[in-house]
Amino acid sequence: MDNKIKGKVVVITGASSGLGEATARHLSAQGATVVLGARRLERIETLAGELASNGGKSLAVQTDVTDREQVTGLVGAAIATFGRVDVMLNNAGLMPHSPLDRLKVDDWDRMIDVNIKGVLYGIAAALPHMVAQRSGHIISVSSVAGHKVRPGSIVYSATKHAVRVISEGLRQEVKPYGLRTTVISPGAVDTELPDSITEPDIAENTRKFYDIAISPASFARAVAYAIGQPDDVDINEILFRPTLQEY
Amino acid sequence: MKMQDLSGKVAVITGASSGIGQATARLLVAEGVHVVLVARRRDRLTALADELGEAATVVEADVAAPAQVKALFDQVRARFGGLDLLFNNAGIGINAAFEDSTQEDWKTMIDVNLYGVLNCTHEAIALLRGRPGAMISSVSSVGGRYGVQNWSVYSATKYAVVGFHDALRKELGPDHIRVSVIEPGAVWTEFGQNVSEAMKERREKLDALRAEDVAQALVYAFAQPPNVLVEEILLRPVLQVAP
Repeated sequence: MDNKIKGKVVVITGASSGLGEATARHLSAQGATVVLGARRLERIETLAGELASNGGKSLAVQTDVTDREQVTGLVGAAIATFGRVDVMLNNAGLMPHSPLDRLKVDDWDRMIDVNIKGVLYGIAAALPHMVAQRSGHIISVSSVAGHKVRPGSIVYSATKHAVRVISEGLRQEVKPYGLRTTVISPGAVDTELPDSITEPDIAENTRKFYDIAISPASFARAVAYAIGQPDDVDINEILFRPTLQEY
Repeated sequence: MKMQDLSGKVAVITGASSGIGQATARLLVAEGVHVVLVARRRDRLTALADELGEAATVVEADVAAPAQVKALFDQVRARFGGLDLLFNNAGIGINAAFEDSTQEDWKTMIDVNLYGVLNCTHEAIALLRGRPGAMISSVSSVGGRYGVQNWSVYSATKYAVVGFHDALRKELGPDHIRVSVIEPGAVWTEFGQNVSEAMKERREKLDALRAEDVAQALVYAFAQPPNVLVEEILLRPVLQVAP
């Protein structure tokens, strides 16, 4: 099969660790140009340096996805530097679990800001360019929690349900422009996500649950699979999880 | 970060005489897998096996007939001692408004699309146990997620497949047997009886998926490491909006 990844300009939010970092490495190794967005500039600059030393083209742009202007700036930098944007990977996410009765309202706000608004800002930044190009691929990250809900993870689950609805609705709207949309829903993957939990007892339980977590490379392969298909094939949804994860 | 090496694995493919089954057989053989080709049309299977050479075995069987399915898996056990992949691909769709449809057609679809999956899966589980990365994958449809007019009974069988898989995944996960489902939109295959000219035109207009595109989804899922379970892949032609 032809390598449909080579030469594509891929913008990745949350690129400083976990899924975003693994995907940047995997796609860069296959010849994609990666534009890295995250708040931790030092981390993405180090990553960009590493990719460059392996012959990869990349750019690091400090980005907080809760700030619309910064997300617009991230995509703008991709256009200014590389002339186009082929893939927008809305990956940045937080998962500060807690039962509602603990009233961790600040955590709820942060999840809504990063997990929902961050995705919408990514779409707002990339869509005009993709419509003008009449090509492009918007990939958003939901979760197994975007398909069901369990006690203690309600707001997170709500945000991930929202991502799935946004991606599916976007899919239906962008057909006239030939754009592709994918929503990827991972189960437990070994990332910093559990570190975003602010309640010590919940954090401990979640870490135990993450004993079975699989490598972020599993996510990177899912992204590469979706991007790598022929232009007229639209991988709309991929749901994957550790074989041992029941929930 | 390469995919798993699939060489030496054994796969049973139902509905292997055409379309997605045939394309999958070709792709798996290219990855070094031995494929057991299952369908009712022996002549078609033989032609495919001739093309694939030693990497293919032909077994004529109707997945809706429990005795034939049992004989199929007895043969797999005797010849290979186990199984790495069951690809439940055989399926039938008969297009009709429900009011005008016949009980005979309902039975045909339920027998192949649901009983076929149950018969094969029931026989395969023992053979899959203890094989690293073993997987059961079935072809459902976007019709297993959304009801489509004139496909009501077909849709019912595909919803059944999705529900069956969600439960089966939880039963077999602890045994490290992966359960996966692929939900394609419009595909260019022989699939669909009584399909109107209008629907054929629709497939053309949508620039429907090639059978190879669906086969690629199966290979992607199967080639993941044993601890990674790709539970669901839903794919459509870029131009397909509904369902």
